[in-house]
Amino acid sequence: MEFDQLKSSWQQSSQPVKNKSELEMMTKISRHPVLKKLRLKFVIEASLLFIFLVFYNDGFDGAEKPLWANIVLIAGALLFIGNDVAGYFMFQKPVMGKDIGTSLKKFSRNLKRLAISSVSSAFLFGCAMIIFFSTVIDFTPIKLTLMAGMFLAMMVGLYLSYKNWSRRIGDLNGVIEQLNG
Amino acid sequence: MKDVFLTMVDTHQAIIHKICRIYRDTHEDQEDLFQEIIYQLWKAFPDFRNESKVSTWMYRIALNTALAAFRKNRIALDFKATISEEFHPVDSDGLSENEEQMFAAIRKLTPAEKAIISLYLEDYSYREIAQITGISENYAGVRIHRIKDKLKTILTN
Repeated sequence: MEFDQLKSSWQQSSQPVKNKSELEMMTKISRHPVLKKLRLKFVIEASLLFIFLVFYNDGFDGAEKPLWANIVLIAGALLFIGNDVAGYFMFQKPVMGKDIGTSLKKFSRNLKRLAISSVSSAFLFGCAMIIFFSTVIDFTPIKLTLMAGMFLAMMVGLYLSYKNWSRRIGDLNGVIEQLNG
Repeated sequence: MKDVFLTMVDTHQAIIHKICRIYRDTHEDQEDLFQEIIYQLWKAFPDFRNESKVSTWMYRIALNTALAAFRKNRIALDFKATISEEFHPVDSDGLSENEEQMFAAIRKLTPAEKAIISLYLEDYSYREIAQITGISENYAGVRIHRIKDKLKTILTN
């Protein structure tokens, strides 16, 4: 195939056509494939945290813990959920510049900020949980081992999250570099 | 306002189909990207001032969305064996053999190269390509020259 043939194939390319009602449906946020998944993630995380916060007082002796430990736990949970909300709004509008290069650079900067706040908020929430569970407690070797296990699981989760964000940002920066040569 | 938008998108929807075809391999991923692009166009529509052609505006938003959108991780399958003619799908999605060959060749380029060459194939000038992508006019010319060479090699192999 010659290049001119390729050009004419591009210009004459016939594609399956979507009707106006199908297109109209696609303008709705509920149909957005990425936002749909983020919404589901948010609903699951928020529901689990809500259930946890409702029952932690009885289930985990919240009344016996000092006030500051309760405040730290609730603040950590709210920070974690707040970050989900920030991410949801950011992904609604990745196109922000007058040209593609500018827009991708802005999106990359926002993505970095979101990655930092996402990993930090998860770390702070994890720490808040460990602090909450370790206050007013008589440490036995088993309890100490459990606590160390919790910390280790949290660190592994954070590392995986960090790797995932790094890959996404790296991919995007790769595209920006390709564009600029 | 929505009617105007839908008529506009309806008229130029081939642009979006072509971008989805070069940036995504499977039909499911192409459909997801198509939806994302329509949503982004609708969000950007209130700021569209008719300062550029509708197609130019659509290309900018659509390419931007395709480049910024996250791709699902898939296991890369690399098979080189020739598929027997009897198992070969005929005109998948109603595409001609030439079109299939063209999309397959463009898919082998990097994401940024796909953006630049798609604009060139649509007959945009170097100046317009530079304005849409944010690179300089001279550099757009250099890049197009290199991508054309790369595509020629892909097509002859």
